[in-house]
Amino acid sequence: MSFDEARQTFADEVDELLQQMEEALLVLESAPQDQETLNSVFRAMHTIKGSAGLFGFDEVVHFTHTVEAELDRVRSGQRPVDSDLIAVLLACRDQVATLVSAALQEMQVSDEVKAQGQAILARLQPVNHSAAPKPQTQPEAIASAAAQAVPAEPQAALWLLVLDFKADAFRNGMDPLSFIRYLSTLGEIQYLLVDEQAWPSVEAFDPESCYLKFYLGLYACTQVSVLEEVFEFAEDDCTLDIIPPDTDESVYAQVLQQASPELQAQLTELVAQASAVPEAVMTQKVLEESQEGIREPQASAHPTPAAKTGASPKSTRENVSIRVDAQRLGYLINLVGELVIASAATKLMVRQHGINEADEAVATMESLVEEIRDHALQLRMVQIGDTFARFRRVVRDVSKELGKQIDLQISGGDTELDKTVVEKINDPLTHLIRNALDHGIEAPEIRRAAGKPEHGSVSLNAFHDSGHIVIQISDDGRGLDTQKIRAKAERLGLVSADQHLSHQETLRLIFEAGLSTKEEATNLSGRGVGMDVVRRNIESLRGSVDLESQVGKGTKVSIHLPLTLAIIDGFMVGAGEEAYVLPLANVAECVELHQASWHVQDRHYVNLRGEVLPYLSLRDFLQKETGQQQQRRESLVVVRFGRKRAGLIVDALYGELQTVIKPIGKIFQKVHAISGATILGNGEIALILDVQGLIDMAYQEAQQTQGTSGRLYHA
Amino acid sequence: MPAEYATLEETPGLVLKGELSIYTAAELKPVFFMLLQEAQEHLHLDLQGVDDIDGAGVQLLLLFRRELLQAGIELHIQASPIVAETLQLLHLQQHFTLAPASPSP
Repeated sequence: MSFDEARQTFADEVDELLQQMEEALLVLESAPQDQETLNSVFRAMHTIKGSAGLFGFDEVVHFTHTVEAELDRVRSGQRPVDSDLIAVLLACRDQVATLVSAALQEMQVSDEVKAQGQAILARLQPVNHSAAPKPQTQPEAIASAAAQAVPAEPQAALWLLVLDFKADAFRNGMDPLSFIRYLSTLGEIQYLLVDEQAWPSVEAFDPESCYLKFYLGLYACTQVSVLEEVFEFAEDDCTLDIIPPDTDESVYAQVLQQASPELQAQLTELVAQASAVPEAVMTQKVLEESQEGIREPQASAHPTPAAKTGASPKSTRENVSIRVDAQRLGYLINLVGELVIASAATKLMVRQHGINEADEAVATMESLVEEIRDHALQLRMVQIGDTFARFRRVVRDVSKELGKQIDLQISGGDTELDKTVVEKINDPLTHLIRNALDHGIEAPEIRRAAGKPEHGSVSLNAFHDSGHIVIQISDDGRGLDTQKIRAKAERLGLVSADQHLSHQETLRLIFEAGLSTKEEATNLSGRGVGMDVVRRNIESLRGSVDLESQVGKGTKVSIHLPLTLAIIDGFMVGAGEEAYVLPLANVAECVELHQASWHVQDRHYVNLRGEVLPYLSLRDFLQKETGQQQQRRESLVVVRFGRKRAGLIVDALYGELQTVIKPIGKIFQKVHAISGATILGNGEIALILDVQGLIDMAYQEAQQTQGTSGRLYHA
Repeated sequence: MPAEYATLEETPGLVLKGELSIYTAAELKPVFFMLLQEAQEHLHLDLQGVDDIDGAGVQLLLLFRRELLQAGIELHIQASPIVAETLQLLHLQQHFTLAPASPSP
């Protein structure tokens, strides 16, 4: 791995860890006793310290070391988890992010940042133990922790340790002896027994595999955490059971009965001596245990009093994933796209030449290619829950800043979408959430006066719908006042006074540039440059945004985004001499219609079983061959986008196909009906139509034949 | 690692020099057990030249000991300081009859 790659990995790792730390801290706010979550905060600082050390990022190491030390005090119960601590730890997290960023950019940390760091650390350690944190090396830290004889265990006592080293221990570079040597520095090893129960016969014995299992009695003044830490690096190669002194006999009994019969008697005696339990009692207990019947696997045989590692809590963070270079993944997906096209070409060729024998092979290939396509695309899918979770911090900080009480509810976090889309959706989402926090939710007094609960709520929801992902941001705040919006729009000249706008159309005015009805721009939002940018960002992802709102009740913003930007399932149609592709998810149905019923009272609507649909003739619209009456049978394809539906008149229906979207270059960006192109199996090019754009066009045409002047449609 | 068969006062045995560790365990195992075929009542292991012993080495010794016990053969070991110290750390000194150090043959 090159140095640059290593640094990139470090950057990614820090990112992830800091994100986890933030989430963990927010969880701790409501669940301060959650030991596991507290541990993950500690681990984040610990790991970052270690990795930063490898790169020689001293500032980061110093800072994280101090935080880690304080967290250790919290872990061992010497300091409680309270909201002050969480607040300062969040500040620590931010400071670490700043320091790491500076280090990676090889910039000197500014004095300002340094001072900030000092201030944070001062808040962190109100009773300042050491002014200058010295980076201590690991073994020193362990030794001093052990030597400090923490108040909980003032006297030395006998600990029973069961060390079961796994087969690959030697191969992984572990030497059990070094651990035992180290333990002997913590106290006195009073007894050590080797359990050969599981040893194979001579012939089967592999001298390079490890069969060593020890029962070890350590007389020392120490803590479970200290002992656990000794075996931290052997986690994968050793199952460790720690039975502290003064444990109940039944626990000992359970442990002992798993030892080989040869050892049991000896162990029973040793344990009995140490715990001042009559040997006979202990023997009896062991006997009882062995008669119990069903044995559970060793690692999980003990009840709570015994401290356990082995099936280590440290591995609850289920990281069964691999880091993949995004570029390689993109390349793979491109290849898959080419494969899709090649497969279509093969299928076409087989069909044209009538090679029936090859039909099955082609069908098999097609279905395999489809599977590869789906799985390849899924590789890039991430759950939106991660993005949503980041907003918890935003909501927390902003509501504190504004003096409001706001709860964030998240649902549909497991809805997946393409990673590239996720990254681009972050900014618009942030803006919309800030709007809800700032403009939407009212101050507690106002809410109370209006009979609403004091706690405002903002919810984030996500789900899939016909090939799209829908993200909704709702709040139960003051809602949008259409009158105010209308007034401002008129002032800006966007709308004339006598123009008739529906409730929905008025609401959509807020997406126009310059429109913000907040009288006074706040720090966060209200400068009127937000919503149009939001809409543009979303539309550049081939998505759309819409909203519902009621004054006094609240607002809901809905964002529709395509699931993937690369490959689509399409429905091919023909108009004139050309073939066009519609996204299959947007095709509702196809109907044969007679000319007669196409104009409903001379307007450009069609009567579809009682539903009035605006329609568009693709041939006329795209090829400008207006007026030519075709003798061929024409069909109507009903398409939909969101809640809107429209009809498209086409000359031919070619059926479904899966295809790769090829971008069409900047020249065509302004053409709202076309969203891309694709290469067909026969080598021809078909344009991919933008359904949303077409539907809007259809509505426009229909309106125009109605004779009204241009409506406020943003195509 | 050099392993030589040698006889000490008519007892078949083995002289080991160098490492008794993961690096040598695989090659030593068959050597040890060849010795087993020859032994009658006693066997000796001269480990005075062993300067490094690890978990794998100890494990091999323990295996050897188990087999010998089953065959009713007594094992005598001459230990280098490091071997002695390791066996002591593991409370294994009573498992092996540690003969006093003697000049290697």
